[in-house]
Amino acid sequence: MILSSGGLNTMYTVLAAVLLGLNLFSRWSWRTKMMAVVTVSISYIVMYLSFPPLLGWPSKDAMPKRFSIIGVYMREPDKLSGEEGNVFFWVVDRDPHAAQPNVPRGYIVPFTPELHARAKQVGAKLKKNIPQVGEQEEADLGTHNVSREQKEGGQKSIKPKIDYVFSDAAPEGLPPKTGEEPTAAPSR
Amino acid sequence: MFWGLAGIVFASLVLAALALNLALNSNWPWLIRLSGLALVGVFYWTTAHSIGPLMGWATTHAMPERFSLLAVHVIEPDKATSSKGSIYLWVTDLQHGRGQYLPRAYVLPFTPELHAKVTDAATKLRKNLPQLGEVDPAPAGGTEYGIKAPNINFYDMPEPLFPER
Repeated sequence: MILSSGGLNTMYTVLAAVLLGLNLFSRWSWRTKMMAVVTVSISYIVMYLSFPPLLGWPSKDAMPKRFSIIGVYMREPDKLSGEEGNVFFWVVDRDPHAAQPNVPRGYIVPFTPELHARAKQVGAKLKKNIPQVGEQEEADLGTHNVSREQKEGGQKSIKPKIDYVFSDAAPEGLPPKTGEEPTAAPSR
Repeated sequence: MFWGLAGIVFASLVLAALALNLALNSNWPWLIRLSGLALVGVFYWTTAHSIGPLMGWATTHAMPERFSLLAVHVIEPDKATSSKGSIYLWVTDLQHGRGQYLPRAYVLPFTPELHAKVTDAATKLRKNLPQLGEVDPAPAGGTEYGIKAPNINFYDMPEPLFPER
């Protein structure tokens, strides 16, 4: 998130620098330079107003390494419309050093029957008030998914794919006293 | 989302036009003009890679007038950290028909009234009662990020006349 804001700030700075260079060193008439200033000002406003409509929609990025699941939403493939189907997750990063701890983020993951089945279980458990957590893991696709180029080169290297494992969240232990480590909940 | 991308494309074209004129009409040495064009290329790359990290996070954009509630996440006010709290809603837009199925996350200022309503709605969701949300144009009060909390009411989703395919 910090990099994304930095990237946008860089964009505005680059635009201002280019405009300044034009106004100082180009052979344009003053009317053309004035129009350039007005156009760039309008583009700043347009950019500012353009980013909010992009926010809130699910991201195609990989989900965090460990996350708490708040919501699951599934769209199954539709042969009639050709829609491929997707599974949407709304999760909170469990990394204590995350840029935005305790702030949920939406993700979109391509539909597979296995993921659909697992997500359905997660949704059912969430409805029973059983908190769910997920972890990233690399899936071994096996030799059937080795690319042709790799086979011709005599190699059988396997390209890992990100997969997710879901489980019930561990019950929280007793809150620690000041200066002590948190205690684990006693097993029943 | 279309207008968001269109605006970014427009601003990118403006920058490209300016950079081209800088290269053609300024008295700067060729090295500086070339560096200017390279800098614009870097700008495009940076912008393209900046949009991705922005996706997925909740928006303060106005909520649709009618939506299907999928999930709720509440951060209550914390006097210790001076946090005013927030209410996050994950919804699908029903305003433009059921075709708009892509879920979107919204963040609203925390108010006790809204907190009570979303808590009830979340309880009903857990009981497998789909919830329909409607936004009252008159704001209820509470402000965060300069946005006033909308007045939202939740109802049990009406049964469809015909089952969905």
